[in-house]
Amino acid sequence: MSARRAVQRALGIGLAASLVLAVSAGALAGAQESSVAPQSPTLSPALINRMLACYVFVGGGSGVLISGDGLVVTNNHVIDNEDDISVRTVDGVTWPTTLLGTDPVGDIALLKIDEGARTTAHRTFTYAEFAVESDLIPGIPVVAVGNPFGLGDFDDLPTLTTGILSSGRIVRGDYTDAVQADAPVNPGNSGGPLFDLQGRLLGINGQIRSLTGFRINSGIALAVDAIQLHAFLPYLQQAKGGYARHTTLPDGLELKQGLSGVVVTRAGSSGLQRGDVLTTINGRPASSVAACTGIFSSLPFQAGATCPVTFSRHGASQSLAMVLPHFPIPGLPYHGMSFTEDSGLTILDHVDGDSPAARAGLEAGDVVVKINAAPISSKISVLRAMISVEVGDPLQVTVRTRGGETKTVVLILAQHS
Amino acid sequence: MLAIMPPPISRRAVLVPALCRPLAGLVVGLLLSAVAAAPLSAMDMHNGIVAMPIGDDELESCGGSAVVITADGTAVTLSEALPAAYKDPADTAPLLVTLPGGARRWAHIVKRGTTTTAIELHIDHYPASAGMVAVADATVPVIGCEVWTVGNTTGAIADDGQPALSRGTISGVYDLPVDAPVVRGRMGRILSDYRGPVYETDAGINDGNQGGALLDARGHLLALVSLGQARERRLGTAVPINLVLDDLGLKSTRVPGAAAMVDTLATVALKAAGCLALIRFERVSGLGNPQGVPRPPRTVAETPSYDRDQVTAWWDMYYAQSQVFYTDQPAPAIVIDAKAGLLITAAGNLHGGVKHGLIIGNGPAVPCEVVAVNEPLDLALLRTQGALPQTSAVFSTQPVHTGQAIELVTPLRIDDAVQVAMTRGVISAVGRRLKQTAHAWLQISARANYSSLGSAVVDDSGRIVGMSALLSPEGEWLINSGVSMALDGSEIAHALDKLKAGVNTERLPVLGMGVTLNEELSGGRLMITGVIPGTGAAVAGLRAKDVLQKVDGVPATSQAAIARALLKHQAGDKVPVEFLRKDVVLGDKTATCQVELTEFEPQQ
Repeated sequence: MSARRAVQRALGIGLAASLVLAVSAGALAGAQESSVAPQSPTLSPALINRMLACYVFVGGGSGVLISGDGLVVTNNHVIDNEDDISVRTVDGVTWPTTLLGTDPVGDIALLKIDEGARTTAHRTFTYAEFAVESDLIPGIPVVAVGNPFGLGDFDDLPTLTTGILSSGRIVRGDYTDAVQADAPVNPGNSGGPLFDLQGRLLGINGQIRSLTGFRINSGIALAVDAIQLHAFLPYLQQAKGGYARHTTLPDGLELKQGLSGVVVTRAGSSGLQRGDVLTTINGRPASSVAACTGIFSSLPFQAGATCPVTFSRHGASQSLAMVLPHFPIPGLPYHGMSFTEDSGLTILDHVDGDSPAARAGLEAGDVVVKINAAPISSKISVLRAMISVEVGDPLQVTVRTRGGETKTVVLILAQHS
Repeated sequence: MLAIMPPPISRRAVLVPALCRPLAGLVVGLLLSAVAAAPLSAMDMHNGIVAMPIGDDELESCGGSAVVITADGTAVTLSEALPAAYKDPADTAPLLVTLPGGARRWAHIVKRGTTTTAIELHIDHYPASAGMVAVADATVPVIGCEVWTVGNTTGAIADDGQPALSRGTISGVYDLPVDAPVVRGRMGRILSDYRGPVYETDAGINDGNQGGALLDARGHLLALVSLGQARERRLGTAVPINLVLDDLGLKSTRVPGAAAMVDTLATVALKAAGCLALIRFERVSGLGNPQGVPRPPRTVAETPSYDRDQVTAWWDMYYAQSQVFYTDQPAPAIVIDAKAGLLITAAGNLHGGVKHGLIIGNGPAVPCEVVAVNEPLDLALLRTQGALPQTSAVFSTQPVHTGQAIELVTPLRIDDAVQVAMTRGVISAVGRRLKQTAHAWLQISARANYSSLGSAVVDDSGRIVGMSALLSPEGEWLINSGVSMALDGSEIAHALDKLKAGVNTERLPVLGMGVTLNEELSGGRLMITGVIPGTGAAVAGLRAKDVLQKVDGVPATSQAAIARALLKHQAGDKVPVEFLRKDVVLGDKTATCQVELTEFEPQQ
């Protein structure tokens, strides 16, 4: 085989060269130090301690402290519809938390360590500062901290791994604002921090991609990046245990990949025109249809807020502030009530334990008077009142209790699990 | 007494410093010290890396990669990066490739190689702004030198216009044997049919990287990435660029010396490899494909749709099983006393009650026998008649710390030569406790697989900080996960006297109170299901159905929480145990008792 011969020939050359060097180097025996810069980052014990101190164990996964008073971010899939969650700091102390808000689309959840527990313990937590966009530089060394395979459940030791940032901000699958890293990440790392060597939080590790399909490290760890975490933070803080929502593509907008870029084939309500070639969306490059779709879905939804879009029309650069609709949270809305009709009244026949309705204080036997301002006269009218509700929507329910009192409560419709 | 001959210098001994040849590491270091490390930005690495189109075959999740090596758009790739339809040489239809930044261009296949699966492409109207990659002289690759993979990983270029980067080292240099079976992925997809010389790397190689770049630390093209793997390693490989260019008859200026970038850690780790040995055990039973799953007769794509679920599941099971281990694979060992002929290895390498082995190398094989085994430590001591040619291992006496860089240095035999493979990582945790063992482990992040068990974890002083011992204590971790355990030097030293005296240790006692617990929680706490007579718990008066509240001040919320609370104690210590006793007559009451801790044999 000529390939084999070629490499053997090449080796022959290498051999001769090496021998010459070895001989001439004989007198320098012991001078084995290399002048090549170390490939592995030097991590100071102080930096490592800081990175570990802001790590928390959360259920089967991980989380990271982002404030001294105990705000913790993790992945939505780590808390997985539970609201009675405790976290454990690396000193082995377990802290009760409250779920402030969650983002099932972006896979982010925000917990708050209960103030009572914190003040009783006289504790101010070490926390991570968010990185900013200019910190997300492909190729920089990174550190991941996590609880792979639940190893730390037994000894409170998190796992530290290192690698580099494989990408800048990317869209990958359902992660619309993410970074990729090659540090080993495994099940149990989810929700845990990805740091740069200044200890800044680049993102939270949430997904692994692998060639084999096994759920183990492959060198592809996807983290929800600090930009998206930071953007969603105020919405999660205000969610009162409910949901922060994402934006999505304008109604009717259709895109196609052309040789010159992503082309508008149908403008819908976007304000663009057929044939426009997208350049950037919210300052991020419109590099493919998948990227555009992802970026349109990457922002926190707020009614009336706009997203800057730049594009080329007949060769001229133009820009547009586009109003984006909200992305419906997938799943069936769940309130936890079942209804019965009796003597012309619609009565709560059962309220599931730990459901949104139960948490709002509704009880079996309550007579339903109104839902979202619509008077309730039958089970059909209940369905009618809820025909367009989505997961995450508030549901205003007025009932007459068994005690004869009339009360109105607001519950947040949950994702049906 | 058996005379040990020094191993002859194999042809590969230069390429990869061979075992027992500490000088080789020195050569490497000196070769490289003249090379100044130029700073390289990631954006430079994006230059000239293009995405191949995705095919219609549902087994392909994204297109592969190609690397542009001339300013006018000549690119090289491997046939495994072509969409399935283009693998037929008769097909000359153009391919739509994606450039860095996201622009699309048409490309044509110009030539197909005959020996390396290399493909030459020409990209029409290739813009100079998309860049190109300078070709390295890949004839002197060195284990441990820094490399980067750059490619269309899971569709990175096609989706975001940015190739994905991963940094690692050249972790091995060997030939994929000509008679090796085709490397297949899930659902029977053929990943690579290349055979021949490769560089193995611990940098990330994933779907989409095939045909893409393996760059050296200065950003020069060293090799084209392949999804082919050695069965012993299951790590990504790359085809040396000089073979690719020769195969295609392409002339290219090759930047000399750029391949050789080895830092101090790699240099000293290669030197430390002089204490490693490779042992062939006659195993009674193997672990490779332990369930004996037969290979599915056809791929999912070849299967009618009504049968696909079944064939997919079959492939997944076969693939998982055949990842595990190979019975005929020799195992690493560390020579701890060359003069006395003593070696240690991971006890896991002796499965099936192996008592004898043969130390293999480039010279005559040397018989060795198992002296004793410490099962809980996963440590075995072996002995030969007479001295060994290796150097004796030098263990570190310095404390290790989390985040410290290490190399996992493994002797390896693929095809016909014994050589060194070396993966890079950090200490991920110090003092890792696992449920089933009483001692502390060093957790490391370097890629480790079944061929690593018994190999050396080396720090930047060139000393050994541990022996790789455990990949999968509970059967849930898989190879190269970046999570594995090593036994540290002090644990080894501690166990050696008993091992040298031929004393086997089957189990280590665990510490307990003397109660059995139900995993079901009662009011958030564990309930006692039974008390073992004569133990501390029995003496203290604990009973079944008592609900543990706190053990040594720690809430008894899980068995792990209790075990954690007891870790800092020794047998004979008394710990306060707060418990709730439910009594319908007298009413529930909470009380605290002092329980003396006892050592138990762990349950099998």
